[in-house]
Amino acid sequence: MSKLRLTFERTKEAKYVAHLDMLRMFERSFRRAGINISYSEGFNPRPKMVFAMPMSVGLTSDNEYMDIEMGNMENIQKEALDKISKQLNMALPSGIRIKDICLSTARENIMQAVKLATYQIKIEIEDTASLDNPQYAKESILEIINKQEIMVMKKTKKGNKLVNIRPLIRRLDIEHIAEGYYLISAVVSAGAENNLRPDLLVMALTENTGLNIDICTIHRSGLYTETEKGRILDLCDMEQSLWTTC
Amino acid sequence: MKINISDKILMSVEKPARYTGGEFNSIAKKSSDVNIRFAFCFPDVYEIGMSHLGMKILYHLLNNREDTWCERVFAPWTDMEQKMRENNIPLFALESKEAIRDFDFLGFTLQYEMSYTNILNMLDLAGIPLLSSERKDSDPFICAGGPCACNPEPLADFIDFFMIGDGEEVINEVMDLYSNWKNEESKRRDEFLKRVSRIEGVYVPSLYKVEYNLDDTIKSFAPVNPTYPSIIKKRVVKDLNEVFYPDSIIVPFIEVVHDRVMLELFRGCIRGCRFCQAGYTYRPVREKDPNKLLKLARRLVKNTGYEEISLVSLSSSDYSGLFDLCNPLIEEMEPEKVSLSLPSLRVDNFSLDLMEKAQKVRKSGLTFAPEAGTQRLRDVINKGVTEEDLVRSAETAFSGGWSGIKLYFMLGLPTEQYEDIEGIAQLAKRVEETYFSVPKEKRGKGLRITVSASSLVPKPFTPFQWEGQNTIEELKEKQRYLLNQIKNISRSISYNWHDAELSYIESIFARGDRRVGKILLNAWKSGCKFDGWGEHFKFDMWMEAIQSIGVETSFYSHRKRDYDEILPWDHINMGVTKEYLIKESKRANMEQLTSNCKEACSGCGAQVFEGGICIE
Repeated sequence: MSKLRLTFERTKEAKYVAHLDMLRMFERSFRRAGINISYSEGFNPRPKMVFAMPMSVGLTSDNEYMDIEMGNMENIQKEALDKISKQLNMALPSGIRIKDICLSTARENIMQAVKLATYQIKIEIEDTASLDNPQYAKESILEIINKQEIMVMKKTKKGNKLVNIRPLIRRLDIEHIAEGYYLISAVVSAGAENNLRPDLLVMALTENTGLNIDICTIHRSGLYTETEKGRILDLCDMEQSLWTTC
Repeated sequence: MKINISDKILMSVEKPARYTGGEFNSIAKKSSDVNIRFAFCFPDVYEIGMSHLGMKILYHLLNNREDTWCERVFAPWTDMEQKMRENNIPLFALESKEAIRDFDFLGFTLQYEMSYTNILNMLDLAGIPLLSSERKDSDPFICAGGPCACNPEPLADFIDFFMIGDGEEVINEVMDLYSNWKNEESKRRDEFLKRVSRIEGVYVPSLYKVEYNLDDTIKSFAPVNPTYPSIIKKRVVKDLNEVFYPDSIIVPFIEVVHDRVMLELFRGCIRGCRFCQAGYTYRPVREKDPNKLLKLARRLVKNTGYEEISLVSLSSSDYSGLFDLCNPLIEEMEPEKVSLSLPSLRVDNFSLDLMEKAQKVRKSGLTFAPEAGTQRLRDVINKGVTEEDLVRSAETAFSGGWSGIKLYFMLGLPTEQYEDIEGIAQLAKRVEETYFSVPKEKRGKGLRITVSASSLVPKPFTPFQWEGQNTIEELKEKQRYLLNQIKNISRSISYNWHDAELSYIESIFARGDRRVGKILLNAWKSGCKFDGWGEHFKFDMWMEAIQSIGVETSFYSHRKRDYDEILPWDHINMGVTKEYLIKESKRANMEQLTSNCKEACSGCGAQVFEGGICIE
């Protein structure tokens, strides 16, 4: 069964919408757009719609992905896909915009496909040492990143657990953008197997540097999959290799 | 000027989407394009306010006017209020994010007496003087409407004018008048209020004065000048088929209490249950044409994408077009995966069949409202339901696979004896026995019976408006008694009850006069708000506030009134006459039933509106 894979962005008011509310919002948008997506059978039919990654409240994103099923899609033409995209955009609230639709033949569930995410995290650091010397905070953070181990207490349903998040960080840069403000750009593990939440990353940096870090905004710029050979691929265009391992 | 609420604030509060607006179908206009800015204020949180049909109607009706931009305002939850006060953020409207103190109107909807403190809190957050008398020409006009406006007196000090009855027509007339007034040079506040008082259905409390007797009852009530109307007659939309109804409504980002398309079947109720205010104040019954509703439903589903349609009315089973509406609706909506929910249906084979077709629901919850435990008391309240009706309905439901039943009752009804309360437990027991009498293979598994008992709050414009409410102690004693009865009788019946203290405060504002405004102000000053939310209800603060006005604490709630006493709402004409209510009050005492509007006209007085069932 082939699926349609939608790429969309999330900005403005829509960023405060929680995951389950996003699902409902899309279901209603499809109905408004007159697009008949498939529903599950049974007592309580649900629309066949899967997000690549849940979005936490407050998160903006350039590229989110979802798979939907809708009847026979085998021979669908580009024009038809464009039409769906156009209809849907008219039916979506401001802040959610479809950027691309492609036909996906991937067998794998899209949630399983996600391996990496890129984040831009705007932070505020308020202690005096950093205000006097912006390099101080930057260096303290990079020093932590250069270690083999970054331990942090992770809260799970079963209780607190000390974990090493260093293997989950592929790349991390930090830039001083204004007095007291910095921008972290990070490539981290994401998805069902190994996932590093950006707030946990910041908590780890806070605990390990002793800096007083507040998150201002979190932005996700991309989600990627990775082949066994380490090729990192766009979720909507899996043929094209974006960049190889970092 | 647009208020910028930082991410830091929004991320620190529960459900930030309550404050961000931007929902699908919400209406953005340019402030320079309009002449009137109207803030529709709902004195409770977003999820409650966004479920309210009246707001949806008036929001779109006002926005259909080119000269007006109507926006929404809800009571910020306490976490957001704290952030707003800390950061000097005034109360703003969701669409423009502009401070509502710069608007032309704030319109509050009065759904429930225990939301009144939120009105004061919202005015304060907006930076608008709480007292009508202290407002200046530059302040917005504060108006109010909705069911509780039929006794406007408790809010007389705070609200500049009330609109009584159906809002669709009167609000347009007020906007037209305002538009003209705004173009004049002088633009005096008192001049506008004088003029608006001449619109039928509009009540400007500052143009009336009250005198009191030594025993605290009302001695006289009259306009300060004979040119103002001495009686304010509620507005009635004669033909609901001809009046505006939105074909597109806002679809919230977050889940709200009633998150679905609402189709209003009719206004009013034929039944005349004697405790029910809505049953009298919305008369006469006016039905909408099922074919129009069907067309409307299609447009609403298309424009909102909602997955559910709910029929809205005081008693859906009484709708004569129920069959003509539901069958095609269910059929058409099925392929779209849109379901139909049918609240306030009397349970019989027809309705269960309909429910089964309409919604592939889990057969869990059905609600019945016998309201009283014995036939005698059900006759007192004119609830034309017998024990056999209930048992038959329960049997039908259990045979149809349902296994959960909720039974609604009231404690503290006039003439109530302990044997009536015992009757509640007995009735629940009979429902339980009915379940076991249904063959195992037919009935659903896991019987659950819930008895829910609220306390009577006598309301204006009902035959019980003269009755004394039970004291808190009496109500608690009755609640305990019922709890014991139920415990002794069965283990599978659960019981819950309403807070007697809350019902007591509610009764003060339901039947209060102008003086209770001071109680409200003092209670708000000592921190009362969101009183309807258990965790925020501060009974001690309320008691202090009540004592501060020097009227006996039982005066408004527990005192039985004489028929010839001037009641605080006597200057409001809701159609139903006082003579009729006296007659009904006497019939209640004699345990006599009164026929419903479809069987025979009982001459309540609503014929003056020349609409609906009265002229059919």
